[in-house]
Amino acid sequence: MITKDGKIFGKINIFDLVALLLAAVLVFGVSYRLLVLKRGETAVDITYHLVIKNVRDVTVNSFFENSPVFDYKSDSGIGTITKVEKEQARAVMKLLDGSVVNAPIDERFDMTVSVKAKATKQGDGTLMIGKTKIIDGLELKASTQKGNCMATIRDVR
Amino acid sequence: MNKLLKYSIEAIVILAILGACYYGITKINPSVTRGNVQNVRITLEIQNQKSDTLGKIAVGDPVTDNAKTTFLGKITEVSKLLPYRIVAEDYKNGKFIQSPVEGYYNREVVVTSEAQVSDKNIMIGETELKVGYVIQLKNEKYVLYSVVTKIDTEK
Repeated sequence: MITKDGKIFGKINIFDLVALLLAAVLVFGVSYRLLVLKRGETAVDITYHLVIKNVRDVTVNSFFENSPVFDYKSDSGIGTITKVEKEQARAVMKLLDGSVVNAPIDERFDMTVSVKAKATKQGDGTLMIGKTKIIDGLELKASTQKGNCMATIRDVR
Repeated sequence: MNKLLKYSIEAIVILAILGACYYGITKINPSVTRGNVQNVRITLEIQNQKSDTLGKIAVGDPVTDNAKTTFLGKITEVSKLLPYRIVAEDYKNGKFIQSPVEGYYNREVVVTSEAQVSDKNIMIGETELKVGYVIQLKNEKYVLYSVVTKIDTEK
């Protein structure tokens, strides 16, 4: 089938064939991306919050302003941190007298990480950053160079 | 001209195959994406142990990540014994407090090592370092679970 000079049936060079197939796949892929996936998409600047509950100060300190943040699952960047705020973590407690309070938890914090990013708005209005959907209430594993924890997306604007 | 075209096509094919291989490997094992080599100080907290167990830890001990069998480095600092505390309910005053557990302690150790540092992560061999990650420290004297609490990279 393959002759001594590397031609299939003596007509086509095997490398040329592979190159042609590769080029065809590339053209199909790029066309699909441009004509099908990009239809109706628009690029938008967004801001949102990552809310992380009930963590120690060491976790708060692993999220830095002006550093990139990633979706650990999809391994893609989801923006740049612009602000990190913390407040005393709280949880519901029923007291001995029967009353219910929102009780503070000693040495535990709720974090709000403000993020700015460039997203694409799909035809149906869904915001995407790479492979990650940015939807209010969605949970993801937010990762920085030094930290990693479950976060809830809030206040998408 | 014909030869030049042929070699160009073959070069493109080889580059495409190499690119596909690299993409595949980095997808399967993200740790392959490496950064710069830097010295790092890793602070690890060993929690909920009796004092005689924690007493075995000493400066100069070599430690390995037992799960990944990665040599992490040597212990360069050991804290004094710290109280092991758990969150407990104070129903009288309506708050959650940190309550010490009698007879059990924590100890912080610092391990100094070289690591691959990138914007995305910090790696020592196959061991990824993130605050909160649990690493089982192992050497000839002990095997102890620890939690990463701080990572300092050289400036």
